[in-house]
Amino acid sequence: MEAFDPTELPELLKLYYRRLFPYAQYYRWLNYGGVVKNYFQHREFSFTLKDDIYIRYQSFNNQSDLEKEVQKMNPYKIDIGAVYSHRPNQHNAVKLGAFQAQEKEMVFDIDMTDYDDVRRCCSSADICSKCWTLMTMAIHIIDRALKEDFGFKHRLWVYSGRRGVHCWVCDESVRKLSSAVRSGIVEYLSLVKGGQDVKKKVHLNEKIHPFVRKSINIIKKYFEEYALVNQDILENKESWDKILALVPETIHDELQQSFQKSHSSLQRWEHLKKTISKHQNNTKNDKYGPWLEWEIMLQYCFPRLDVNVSKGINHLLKSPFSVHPKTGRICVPIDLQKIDQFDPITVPTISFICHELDAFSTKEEEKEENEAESDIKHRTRDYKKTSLAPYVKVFEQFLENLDKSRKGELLKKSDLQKDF
Amino acid sequence: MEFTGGRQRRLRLAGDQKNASYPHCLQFYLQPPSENVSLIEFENLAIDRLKLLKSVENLGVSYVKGTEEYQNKLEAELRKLKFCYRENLEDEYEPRRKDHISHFILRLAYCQSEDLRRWFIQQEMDLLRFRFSILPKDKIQDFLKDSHLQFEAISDEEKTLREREIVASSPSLTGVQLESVYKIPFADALDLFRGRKVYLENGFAYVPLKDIVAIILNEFRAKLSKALAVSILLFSLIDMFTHSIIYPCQFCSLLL
Repeated sequence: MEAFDPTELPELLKLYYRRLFPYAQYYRWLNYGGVVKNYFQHREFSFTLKDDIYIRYQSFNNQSDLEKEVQKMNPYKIDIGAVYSHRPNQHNAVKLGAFQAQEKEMVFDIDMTDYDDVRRCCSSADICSKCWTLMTMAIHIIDRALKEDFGFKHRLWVYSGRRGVHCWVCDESVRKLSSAVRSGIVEYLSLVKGGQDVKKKVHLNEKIHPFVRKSINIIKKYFEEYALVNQDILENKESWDKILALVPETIHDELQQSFQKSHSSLQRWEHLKKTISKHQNNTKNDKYGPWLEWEIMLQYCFPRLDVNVSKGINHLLKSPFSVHPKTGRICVPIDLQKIDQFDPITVPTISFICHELDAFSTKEEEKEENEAESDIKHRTRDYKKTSLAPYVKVFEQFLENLDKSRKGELLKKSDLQKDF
Repeated sequence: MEFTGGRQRRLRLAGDQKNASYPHCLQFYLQPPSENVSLIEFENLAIDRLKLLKSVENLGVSYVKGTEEYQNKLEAELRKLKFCYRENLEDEYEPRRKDHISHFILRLAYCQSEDLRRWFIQQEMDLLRFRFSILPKDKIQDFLKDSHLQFEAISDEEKTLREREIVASSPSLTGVQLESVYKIPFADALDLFRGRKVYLENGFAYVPLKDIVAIILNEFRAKLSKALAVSILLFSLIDMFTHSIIYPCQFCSLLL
């Protein structure tokens, strides 16, 4: 993959925004079928320009207006905000208090840095194949709950460009949810509680709620390979002491001994399970049970959400197909059918796809010399000449589903009104 | 509501119409009364309800709410003051009407300060909780429908299918016989689902009877709170345009 040089960004972005950014699909998404008047026109966007200049309350009349502005400003980053009561770019002309955020997709941001206390391979902005499984598990767990528990149908998962993933829930009813309900949803999805000073972050009740049970079942599929092999969480005294801090003191000595004698995390984990089981049967003490094992698994693997991102209706989040200014990677949609195969290393960078486009263009020029094709036609096919194509396809599938749903709803409504 | 001086004939309704206007003993007080009431009756209604709410408060202090003693004493008090309390009793029009009008009269007085509002809401909620607790199971669905709450009891088959999940989700269930379960949109059960205290499936919360009461009470509190806030606002507006208001003054003297 072509090495990405951040100093080349201005030039690369120029080409990206002129030839590769999928404006048509993007507009199709945010316009939501044009059912609600001015929905797109009242949407806030924000741009981060060169030298960290940040401008809010951008809004556009239509797709062409959006294209022109983006090409003119050449933003390093594009964020999407809420749909407001008035056009955001005219918010200063609105009477005080009348300019209100009204609707927005519900969004989730899962960031690898929030797991620094439980991953041993990397820290802060770094990621590798050993810890990426945390994101894989997070997507499976959260997506299952959003779909099966809450009944949300239109969920777009996007790679954030560096160290995490975002989810955009776009159902019509979800866009109207209040801040209180959004907070409630995040609370429902949260299990890991406490900051740096809290050793044991997961406490399960006697009764295991189906959401927790199903999440544990997902983690079980990955735990051995992720935690016991790749992360090797019981590798040495330093690492297994962290786990001992999560179980009652009465078995610490016993476990230290059996851990010393064992040769791998796998063996030590088996010992841990056996010891807990033994004490569960022997003592009438309620302190021991299978939940101890689950609490450890959850602390090491369960998703960690940022409630502030999800609860605010006016919160701005990085747009899909935006470019990450530090890594150059495109924020691409993730195919829900292939979550396990998704590897952030293979996500194309802006330099890579620009290079692909250039290479293709020179070849094309050699083949078709005197063909006059309209600029728009060129552009709509251009992304197909690059590694961006499969990701746009995933996005289009998502848009198809939105369209189908919308048609279904309109049909239902017209049936009720007996419109034929 | 119109207040007229001196004696005024009350509207007389024929039998069927009477029942139609108050189909249930229990109500959410969503619609204000629209009758003519004499000042004397107005006074009496207010005094009786005040006595009732004060009893509710005292009983709540002397006994544990929900115990048999508490329930019996409260029922006796309601009967003594001729308010409605139980479904299925005959000739319930007068007590229900009394309940309706007196509630709205007290709203006028008790919207006036934060302390008064809090006290009023607390006693009205305890009263509602009591009345709901003695509502026969088969009448619950009707009451909920008439109150425009989107609660739908699920069939026995659906219940059996999900029994394990529902019991595992609800802290208030102890694994004994599962009573009625209601299916409501998840957003209407915020306090339950945020703490993972209810089973969610496909956007619906499957709420056992015990927990529905909590939701209903919350709904009632929210509506009443809002109504009282509106009342005080209206009072301020009236105050702005007129110099004297008769009823609140008479009221305050009644209360002291």
